[in-house]
Amino acid sequence: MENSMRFRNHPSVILENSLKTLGTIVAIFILNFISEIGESGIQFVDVLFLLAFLAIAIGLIIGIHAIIWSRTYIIIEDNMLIVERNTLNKKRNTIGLKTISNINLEQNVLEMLLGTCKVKLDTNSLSTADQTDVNIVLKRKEAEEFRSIVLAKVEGQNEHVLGRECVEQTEETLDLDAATITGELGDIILHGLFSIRISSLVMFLGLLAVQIALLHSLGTDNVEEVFSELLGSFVTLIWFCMVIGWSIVKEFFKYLNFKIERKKDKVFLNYGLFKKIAYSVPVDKINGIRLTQTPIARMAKRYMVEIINVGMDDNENEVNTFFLPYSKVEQIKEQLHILIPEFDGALEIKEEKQPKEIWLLSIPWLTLYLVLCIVAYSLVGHYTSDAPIKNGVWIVAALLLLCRIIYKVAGFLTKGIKVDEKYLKIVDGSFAKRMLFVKYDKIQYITGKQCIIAKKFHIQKGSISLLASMKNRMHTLPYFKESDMERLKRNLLS
Amino acid sequence: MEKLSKRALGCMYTAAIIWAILGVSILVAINVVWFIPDNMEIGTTISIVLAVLLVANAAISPYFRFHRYRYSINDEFIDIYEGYIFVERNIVPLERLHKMQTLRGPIDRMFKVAKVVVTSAGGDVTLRFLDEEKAEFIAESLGRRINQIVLEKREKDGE
Repeated sequence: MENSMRFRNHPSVILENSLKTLGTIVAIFILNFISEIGESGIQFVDVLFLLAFLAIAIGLIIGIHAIIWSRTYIIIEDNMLIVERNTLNKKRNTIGLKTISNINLEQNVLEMLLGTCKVKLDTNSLSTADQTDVNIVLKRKEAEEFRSIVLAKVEGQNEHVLGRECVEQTEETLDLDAATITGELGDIILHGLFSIRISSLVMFLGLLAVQIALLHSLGTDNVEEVFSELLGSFVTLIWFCMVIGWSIVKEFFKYLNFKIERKKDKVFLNYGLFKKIAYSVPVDKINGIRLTQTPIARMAKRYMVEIINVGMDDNENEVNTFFLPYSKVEQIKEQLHILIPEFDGALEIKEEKQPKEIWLLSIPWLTLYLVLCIVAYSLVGHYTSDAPIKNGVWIVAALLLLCRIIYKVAGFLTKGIKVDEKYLKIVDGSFAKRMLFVKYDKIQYITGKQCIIAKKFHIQKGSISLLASMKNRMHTLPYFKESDMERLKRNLLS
Repeated sequence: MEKLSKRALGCMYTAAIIWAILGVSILVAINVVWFIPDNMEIGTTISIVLAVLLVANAAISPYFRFHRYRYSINDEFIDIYEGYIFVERNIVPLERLHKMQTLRGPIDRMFKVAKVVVTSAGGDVTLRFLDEEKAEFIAESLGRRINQIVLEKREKDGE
């Protein structure tokens, strides 16, 4: 074929893939070997045997990966991307270029040393939404060339649909080549601080309280015992602080040199120190934007922005990728206007809180809970006649119920939806808060759910389905009025 | 919106009875074989209550599910309304669909009913308890309509 370009992985993948398999096998063998030697003592023959085994294992594994490497090609042919493997198990995957939703570059420490780069391609497909479709390791320069070629082909295929719409919307307001936002050092540190979960904070305060309590009891007779407990809890507290500190530092190093750019109809994200990441996301493949707040960020009125699309969160290292770090809402609006003006106006929408009638829906659950408490009390009563233990069941039940009530009240004050003309806004959460903005043409289908009581009061809840990985596919709609469902249906079909 | 035929009611009752028999057998096994002590009346009481609920469910739920089930298919969307205590409504625009399947389980075959499962990029939605002939007709006409939508979209993109 005329337009055919052939690529092969960089030979360093042989080493990288071999190390993964080899490490496990060698570790298992050596551990077994050591335990046997411990019983019978080391002999020269044993050492020879170990070395021979290791040599054969290394040779075999490297040999297999070398064969796979030599027979695997990635071919760009006209409007197709073909991954061909001609080993004992022949495979040929053909991917239409127009289905590609993301082309990302990654570079870990080993790759930085070798001057290579991993290119990861994701398609706009549900069946592979939870994994990267194509992985190829090339020299840095080749990787960028590969990405440019694929991007050019994707653009060329879709420009009469994508490019026109994006250019029309953005030409009036900004210079397409100058839309760049850089994350400052302070922004990334603050982002790490606001990302701390409330559960970590509660544990920290709990440990601190234990410390204080133990310090107070130092004045009693059993000083030695109290001192050893104090030392133990102090070490735990320090260790816990280090864990939290490390999670902030890790975020800092992960997102250092953060830069996000808008060029024509694509957004480019770059960040990382020890592992460099370069994502390119076509704007038309962004299925929704989400503003997230941890409880701490909520107190400081800061928001983080994430995008919902196929490919951004299908791997472990992509799970916590954000689009914009924690910032104030005015700054977020400005930045979103620069980067994705296609979502202009979304953040102005005010949601409608859940109807008050939802509290009546708790009656059956409370009844069931009471029945379960009676059952638990009877079970405990069967095994013991000790009154404090039996009464403990009611105390635990009451505490659990109190926690549940607090959680539900927080949820009632937070959740809501708005069926706007252009966007659907969904607000979810209790102490943390998540706001999702979706355009109707990105919604795959809607589900509405009603129980008998909800039907009586003309309210329902539901969910929407988007094209995204498992984690971001289904989004719950909190309780809303029945009339909103009809409006949602009309907007979905228009 | 369209309703289901009487065949579907028979299928629903058969499936509900089979599940009830299975559920009651498990409860009996727990009481006879498992660890619930003889003098623990609360355990036996709960088992009896659950067994009664299972039997009552098998007797009542198919009737309500049958009469509540509604579906609507036109040029634009599929709308399915089904359920018993909790009612669920699924709305899928036809232009989101890219795959269809017709499925028949052993009980479905006994009553000559079938399921049509439609797949969009966000997941599956199922039309249950349709007469076999109706299921085939729906699958065919949905297929034709989806092809038409794809062609219309290609023509529009070509402009």
